[in-house]
Amino acid sequence: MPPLLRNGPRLAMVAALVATVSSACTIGSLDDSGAVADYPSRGLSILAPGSVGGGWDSRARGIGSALTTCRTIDEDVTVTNAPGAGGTIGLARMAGRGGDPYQLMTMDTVTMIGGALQNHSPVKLSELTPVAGLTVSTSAIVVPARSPFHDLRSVLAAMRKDPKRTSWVGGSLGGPDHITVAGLAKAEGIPARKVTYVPTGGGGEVLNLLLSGASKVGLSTLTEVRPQIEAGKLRVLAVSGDKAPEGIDAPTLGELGYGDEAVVSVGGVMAPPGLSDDEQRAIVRVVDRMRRTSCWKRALRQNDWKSVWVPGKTYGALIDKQQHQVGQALTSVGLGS
Amino acid sequence: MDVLNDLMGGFGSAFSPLHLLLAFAGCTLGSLVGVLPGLGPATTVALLLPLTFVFDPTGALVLFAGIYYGGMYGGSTTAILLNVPGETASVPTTLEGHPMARSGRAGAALATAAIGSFVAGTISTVGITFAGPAMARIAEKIQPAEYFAVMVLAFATVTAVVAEAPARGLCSLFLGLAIGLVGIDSLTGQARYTFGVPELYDGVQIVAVAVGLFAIGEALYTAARLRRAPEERMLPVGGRIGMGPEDWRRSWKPWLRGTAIGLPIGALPAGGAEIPTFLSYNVEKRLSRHKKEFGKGAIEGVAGPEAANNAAFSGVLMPLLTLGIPTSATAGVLLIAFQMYNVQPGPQLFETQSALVWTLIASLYIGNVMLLVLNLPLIPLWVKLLRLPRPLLTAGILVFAALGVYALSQNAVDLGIAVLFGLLGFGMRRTGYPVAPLILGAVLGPMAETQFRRAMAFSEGDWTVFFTRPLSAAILCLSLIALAGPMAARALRRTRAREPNPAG
Amino acid sequence: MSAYDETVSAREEARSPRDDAANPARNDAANPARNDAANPARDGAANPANDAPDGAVPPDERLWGPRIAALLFLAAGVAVLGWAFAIPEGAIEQDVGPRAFPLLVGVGLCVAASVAVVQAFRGSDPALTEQAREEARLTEWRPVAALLALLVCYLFALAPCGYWQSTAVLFALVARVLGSRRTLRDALIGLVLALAVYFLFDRLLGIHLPPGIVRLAF
Repeated sequence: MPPLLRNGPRLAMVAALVATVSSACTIGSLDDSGAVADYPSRGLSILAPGSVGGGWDSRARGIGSALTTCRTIDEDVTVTNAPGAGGTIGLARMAGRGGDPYQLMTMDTVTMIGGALQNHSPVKLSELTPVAGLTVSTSAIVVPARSPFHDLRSVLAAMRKDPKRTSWVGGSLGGPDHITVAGLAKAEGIPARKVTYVPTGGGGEVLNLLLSGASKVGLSTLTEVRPQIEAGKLRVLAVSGDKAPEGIDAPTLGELGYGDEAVVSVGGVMAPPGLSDDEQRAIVRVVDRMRRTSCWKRALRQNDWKSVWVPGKTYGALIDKQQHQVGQALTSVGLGS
Repeated sequence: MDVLNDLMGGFGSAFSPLHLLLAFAGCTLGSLVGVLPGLGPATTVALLLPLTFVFDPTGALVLFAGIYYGGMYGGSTTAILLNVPGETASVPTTLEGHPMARSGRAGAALATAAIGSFVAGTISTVGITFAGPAMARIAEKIQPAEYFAVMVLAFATVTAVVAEAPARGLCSLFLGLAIGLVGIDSLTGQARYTFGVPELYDGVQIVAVAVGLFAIGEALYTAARLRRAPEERMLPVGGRIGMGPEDWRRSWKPWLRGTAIGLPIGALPAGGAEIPTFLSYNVEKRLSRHKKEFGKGAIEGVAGPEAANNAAFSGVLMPLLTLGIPTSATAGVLLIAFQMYNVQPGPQLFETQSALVWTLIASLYIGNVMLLVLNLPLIPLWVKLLRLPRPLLTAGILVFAALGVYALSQNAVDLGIAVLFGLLGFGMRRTGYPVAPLILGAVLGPMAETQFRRAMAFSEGDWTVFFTRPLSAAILCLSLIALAGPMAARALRRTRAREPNPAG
Repeated sequence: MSAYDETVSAREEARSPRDDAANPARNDAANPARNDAANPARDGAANPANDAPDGAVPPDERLWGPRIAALLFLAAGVAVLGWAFAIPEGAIEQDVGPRAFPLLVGVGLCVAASVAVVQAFRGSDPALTEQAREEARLTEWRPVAALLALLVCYLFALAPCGYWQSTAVLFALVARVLGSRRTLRDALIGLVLALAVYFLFDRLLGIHLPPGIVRLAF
């Protein structure tokens, strides 16, 4: 070690500090010329508005790895996380990236609209540029095998008689399950806020509350309750979607005449506000190529997601419609506003 | 047999090269962090949480099983060589292990701790293998009223653990409960104690709380005393690491007794590891033929408590896996890890995530063997690590603490929360407030509130539901006994103390 | 019951193990004996300072730590309770609303903290008294304040300056605050450590860490 440094530790410290900080903070400029034809000409960043390991995160990482591992694009993809406040922290961050076509975000329509309403988010999901809807999951209305209810009508009849006693259990407050229950109540002329709806963290808890006999009726994604249905412990009364999946003997909500009440949350990708139509189309093209890769198909299989394709403006129209629907439903149960 | 088939399936998956590698990495990293002075298993798990993000849930949990056990093995090394217990449960190890090391018998102390942990860990894992599915089947019948009762029992035993300072222990517990309240109420959507900060809407990150209280608090504590307190002397490992025939003869019974004490108490949905280790220490002291050696390095006093500690640790996994209820600070951090992967432990776990559960259990067996084989030869390496200058060690701990918190949410707010809790942990430690109840309160509190309100919703507002359901009533009675027992014991001691010849 | 009794005593024996660590000479002899000596003292005596092993320090002089802590807990309890009333009950019909538990927790914290305040001011816990005296003797506040300041700077520097840059500086400065005098060596170790972590997390594990403005070539 040079004598100067050995003799002057303070000097050495200052030197080290200055060297590191100056290297750290040298301002570099990033080239931002984004000709639409060669999009993406630099690395993409995908924001997951939830914690690492959660649903939005696994979708962001699934898309990221399908883009790179299956060589959809030559550039790299970075996944960042902005958890908190039902996704609205991520939503606000996206709103702040206006005009940047290299920043994408994963989300779910109903869940995020509800989160934004409940958290009084200053930004609405519909302000962002819609890219595409990619996944949906089928949900099911189930009762324990020994339940007196054999169809949805008898459940609703019991609800009319005593809305408090016919207790529902499902996903988070103001989420798609809750909104479906509120919609069903409204269609039957029952004030939605009289209905007992117990929100849970999802699948396992719903099962436990139903099988232990605590709750009467439950809502869950079909994949989470399928083993118990097949084992004969649960009975399906209705499923969401256009037709019941194979092996499930139940009518859809649409067939029962409640097609409008069931809201389906479509998982997909959004881009920041303020993009041109060309830029939006360029991103849609990349995502479209991505969803055809074997990597994405593997991710779908691993996570039990059902694939859909709702590109660009169609996705935007869906979001606008659901924004309205969710807003009304939340007001009717006493949430939001 | 079903169980054996499932277990074999688990082993099949755990023996895949990736999972073996992860188990190995977990054991090594767990020991590495656990051996750092002042870092117990809870902190070790919290610090290493971000490492598991990128694996699928099964791989991540295999890694965790290794970290969980590794943290404990590492902790006993520090307790013996440095006289620094990583957490309350390893205090008995310092009482006997450190004197042993001082008289040149560190090798035997380390060996009996490691082998005892292996024996206890393996027997307890067998226990989980067979009792777990049975308990899950019972747990299926459990309703919110019972869940709430079980959590009341857990709170009651926590206060028993802090019995030497009930007021301060309860302060810590209630502060934890208050921290658990922060965020949007999951049942009505109303914001509570968020002060308009959106980062608080989803509640305070438990990992930030744990890392702050334990790791940053520890670093501040070290900083405060570094110059004035005489440095802990690292004792050399005298001789080879291993036990003579006499050591074996004196160790095997304490191992088994420790296991017999630790497993059932840990497995109770209200256990924790403190009570069984101290209990085991007292039992060994009473039964030993070498009573005079106690306090000066009796090997029984290391063998028994270490086995009890490890058995209780494995036992704690029972309520965690089958009920989703964490009963120790470490289990609380583990639960967070499960939830981050959308794996909700509970009665349905054995059914819905059968492959995952059995791989986890199989990797507990493997982790135990690996640690035994690995840890003894690696002890010289840990000793070298402990010889690193304290300033560098502490700086390293801080770097990893900050990383663990930051990587999770990638915002500085959580890091700020962790620093605040570091200050809190430092202050609490200086003034005699235990921190473990705080973590437990912050994790269990929201669960207890949710279950209570669910029970009320399902009973349509009928308060008697907690007493008319027999199981719930029975558990609540138990809680009352757990609360009143220590008080009665103290009252009794007070009476005895007034007698002319106080019983020693 | 007797087993439990002893459990509690053993824990008392073992309390604040750091102090024993700091003073190994006392460890052998004092530890087993202290238990028997302390028990009757704690239960009987109103003024335990007389029984303390070294009665040289007047009890009141150095005991502000526990007193302040207890008062802070009490303040926290009052705050929890006060703000509980500010929680809106919400429009959803519920038998137990969002306010009930905060009120319960607030009351519990206030009660426990009040007892702690009384204990701290009366000095009715000799073990705590001794610990507080020991802590007061050994604590230096400057390094604690310096570490806290460093951590706060670090959390503001992370995003603009980048992960590995800020971390390297943090490492070197923390080591220096804690008394390490070989700052250049520490800075090098810090730099290597920070780069290793950055590479592992950001590049291999795909967990994003702020790059700062200078991007690395690899």
